[in-house]
Amino acid sequence: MNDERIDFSPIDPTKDEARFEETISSIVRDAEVELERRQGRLTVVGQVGQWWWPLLAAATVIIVVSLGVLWQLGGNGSAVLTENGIEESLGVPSQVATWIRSDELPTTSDLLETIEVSQ
Amino acid sequence: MRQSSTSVTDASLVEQARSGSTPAFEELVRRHFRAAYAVALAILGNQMDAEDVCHDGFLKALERLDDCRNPDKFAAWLLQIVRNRARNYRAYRKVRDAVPLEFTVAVAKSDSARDVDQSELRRLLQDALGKLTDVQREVVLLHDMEGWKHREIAQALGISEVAARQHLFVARRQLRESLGPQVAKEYLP
Repeated sequence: MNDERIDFSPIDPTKDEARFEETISSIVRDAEVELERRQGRLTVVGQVGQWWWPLLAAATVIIVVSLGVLWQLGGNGSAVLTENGIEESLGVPSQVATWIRSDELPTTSDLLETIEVSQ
Repeated sequence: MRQSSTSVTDASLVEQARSGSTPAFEELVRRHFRAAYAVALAILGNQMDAEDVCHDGFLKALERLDDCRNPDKFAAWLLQIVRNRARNYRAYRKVRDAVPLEFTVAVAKSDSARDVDQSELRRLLQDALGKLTDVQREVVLLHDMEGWKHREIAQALGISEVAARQHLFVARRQLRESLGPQVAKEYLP
């Protein structure tokens, strides 16, 4: 087998040293943000920060959902909740809500009656 | 894979770069730029595009450094990233330009006789390389330009050492034929 190398120096990117150094510097410069992020991960503040952002995002979601529910309940939501329970507040028929609370299984006739009433 | 003259291993540099060490990352770039460039050039056939893809490839590799499960084989992992990006870029370029791809190497502007010779040789090499397959180009560039061993090339390309040798043999023969005896005698060893 022919073991003589082809001379690729005319297209060797490292041959022009100044240009090569410029290329390396450019890559390293653009990597600084990511490198700094990685350095920050090591500090205590960084570790807390790693947990803080997902925690903050989760808390935001919970707050938004809670506000949505409160908005649905309207201004007298708390009073409604106290008197009738959350099932009725969310539009569940009162008979069904009673079954849910009492663990009592409804009979077929009860179910039919409830459906007729709700219609 | 290939290490520079220093005794620091790739694995150690990867570990330091994971912690945000700029010198470690820079050393990884220096150490593997030419190999990454060889892979990108083999696929894209254009010096400027190859350099751009290498640039992006190193940044992407840094972002995903935690995914490099075997830091000892950082080079093979990096080259796979560069290869994928080069292929994506080639596909994008095909759609964008809607013209057949040609193997073109940027020719620097110059007025000296020596540089004109270099430009001419670059053009001859570009034409000759353009007649090879992607794999043949990658093998011959990694072996003859970057100095990788067949074992390293086989590992990086996911082929057998025998296949790597065969690709090199065919690539060299075709390059010599394409360049012609005069050029081969004048420029090639």
